[in-house]
Amino acid sequence: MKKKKALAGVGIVCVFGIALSACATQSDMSDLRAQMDSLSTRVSKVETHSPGSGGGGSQLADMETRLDNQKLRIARLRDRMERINHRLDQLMNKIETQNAQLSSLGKAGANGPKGPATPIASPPGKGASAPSPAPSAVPGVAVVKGPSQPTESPDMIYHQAYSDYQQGHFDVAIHEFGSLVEQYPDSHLASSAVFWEAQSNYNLQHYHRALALYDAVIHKYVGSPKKATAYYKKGQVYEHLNDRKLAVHNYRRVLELFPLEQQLGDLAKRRLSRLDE
Amino acid sequence: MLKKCVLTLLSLGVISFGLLGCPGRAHALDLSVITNESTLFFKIVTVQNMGHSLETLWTRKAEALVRKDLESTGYFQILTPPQNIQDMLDHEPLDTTLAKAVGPLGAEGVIGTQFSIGANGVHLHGIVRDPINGSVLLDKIYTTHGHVRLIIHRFIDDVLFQFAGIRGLAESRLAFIGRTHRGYDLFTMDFDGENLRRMTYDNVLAFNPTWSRDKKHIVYVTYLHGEPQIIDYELKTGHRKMLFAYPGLNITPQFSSKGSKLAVALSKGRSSQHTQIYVYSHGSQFLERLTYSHSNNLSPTWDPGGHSLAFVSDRDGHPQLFVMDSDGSNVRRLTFDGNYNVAPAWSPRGDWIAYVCMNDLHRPKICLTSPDGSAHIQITHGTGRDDSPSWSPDGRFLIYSRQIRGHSSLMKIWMDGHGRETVGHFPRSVLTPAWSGP
Repeated sequence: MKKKKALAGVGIVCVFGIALSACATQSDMSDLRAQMDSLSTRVSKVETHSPGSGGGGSQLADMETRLDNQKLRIARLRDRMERINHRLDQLMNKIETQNAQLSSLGKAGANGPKGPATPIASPPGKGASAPSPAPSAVPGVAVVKGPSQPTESPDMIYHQAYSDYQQGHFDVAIHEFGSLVEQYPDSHLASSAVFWEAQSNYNLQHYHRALALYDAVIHKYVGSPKKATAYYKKGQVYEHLNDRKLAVHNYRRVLELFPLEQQLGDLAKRRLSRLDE
Repeated sequence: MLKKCVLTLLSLGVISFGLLGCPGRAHALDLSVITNESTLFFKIVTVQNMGHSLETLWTRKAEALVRKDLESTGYFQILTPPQNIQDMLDHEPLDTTLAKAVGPLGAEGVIGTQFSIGANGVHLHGIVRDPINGSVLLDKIYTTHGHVRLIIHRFIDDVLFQFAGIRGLAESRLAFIGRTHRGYDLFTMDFDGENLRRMTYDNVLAFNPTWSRDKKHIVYVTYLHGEPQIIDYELKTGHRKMLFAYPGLNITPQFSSKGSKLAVALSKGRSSQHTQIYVYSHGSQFLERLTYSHSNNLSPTWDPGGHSLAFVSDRDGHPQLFVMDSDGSNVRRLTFDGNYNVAPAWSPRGDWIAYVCMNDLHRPKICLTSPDGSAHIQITHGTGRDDSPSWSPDGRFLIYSRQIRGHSSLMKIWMDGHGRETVGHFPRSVLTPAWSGP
């Protein structure tokens, strides 16, 4: 029944179409075709420009791909930068070790009967060239005085101290990091040593001592790469000391001063929202 | 979905090698100073069947195992006494006089054993005497209703502790995911490869088992419900509890050494499928997010003190090892050699982190790095693809899976790379082994 109705409908449309075409002239038909063409062109143009259309979608996909590529490039650049920094650190360590060796050789030579009258090289650290005991970098930090002439390079002391830190020997690590800062206050490892000394105190729950050392990282070593972390850690310490105001202040400092430290920023935001609850 | 698969493979440490760039090479480093290879041997004399009772086949086998266990500790050199002293050892009781008799050989200990069967089970009477003055250093009777090797392992642990102050491995166990006829399941075995037990019968892909501190639970990743989810398996009852079933990836669980915290990597259904590291505290029952980078962060492993975590991140374009404090701050990169460094495992001693690196032939191998990244060493070599290192509780051995021609075996190796041997006789492939605590 439905089929019959459909066939009848198609028939009527055909008859109507034939009648119409008989009425319309050739020029009318060509005009109509031209209008149809222009309309379809407009429709396609609109489709291309509208954001929800397929063309827009493909543009968006292109943009996303480009963005992904850029992200990848940035990541690769970061990777290269990290590697270069790492190499630089290694080179600095080597230079300091060699300087320390040269210095000790020079002094040994100077003390000997036929040694040269002047030292061969001056090490970068004050401690190495000035045997008089330097005061501890941070007040209240006990440092056991060793022999006036440093026998180990800052690199060696640092790695031993860090190794002790990683094995949970925080008391020993505190002593070793402190000794590095005392002997080589100008070493490029000094700021890191103070930071890890602070970390050791933090892990031992010596919070006031840790605060003093984090402050030293922030204020004494202006270019320290651990500065942002020191602010965050200060926030953590103040949380442990139940000083909400100062904890909030330090987390905010992380956000204000180090907008590029994404991980720390997110952690600080999380802590701030927790403290607001 | 593709990303999900890739990440899963990444966490297994078996990512397609063709996609990766030129690998780096671990620097040569002498580890002999930190193992006992050639530096500290205690010279000992063993006295088997010290009661001079009737020997049987099983007592001879047990005595042989005592000797093997002593040698495999790596701390003892068993001396062969001259014939006249040997005759005394064979016929006289192990007393002060006999112990003193081996002193001139340069022995630092005399170890006597006697096996017997009683109503309570099998007994091992173990004695250690000082050859200098003949005094007793250890005198203990071990009893078991189970296998005799268990009491032998315990005795050797006590002997090792007596001489070297090191806790042994006798009570430790291994967990791994084993291939079955129709899929994969969770298995356990004793540290010596004996007492193999199948824990599950799911026949679905699973990986990354981790032992709880009390060795009563194993937490692992399973595809039981189609997605990788983290399940807690109680060994005594077989009861299972779903721990993490967020949409997306729930992978790489790892208990802290104290057992109170569990670090995991979760994507929590993000469209990017980037996983982030979270720490779940059993005490506070609070899940804290630690990483926030727009990249994959996974495979966390705790330092022995629980103050730091090492993990894998591709934030710089390639998977590399990083370390952070346990609150998520103070992130620093550990590995710079090569483009593929994954599956970190922090030594229980805290001095090294084992991980999977790539050798010159683009084969994954086991490497070690110091926690400050200053020293690296590749400890496995040769053919095969090595994966998923896990430390022994004393930090002297590593187990890992070694794949050759599609078949993975469970291997044990000294931390300096010598003495590689297969553990157990599991007939099919082994994935992601994990050594329990002591």
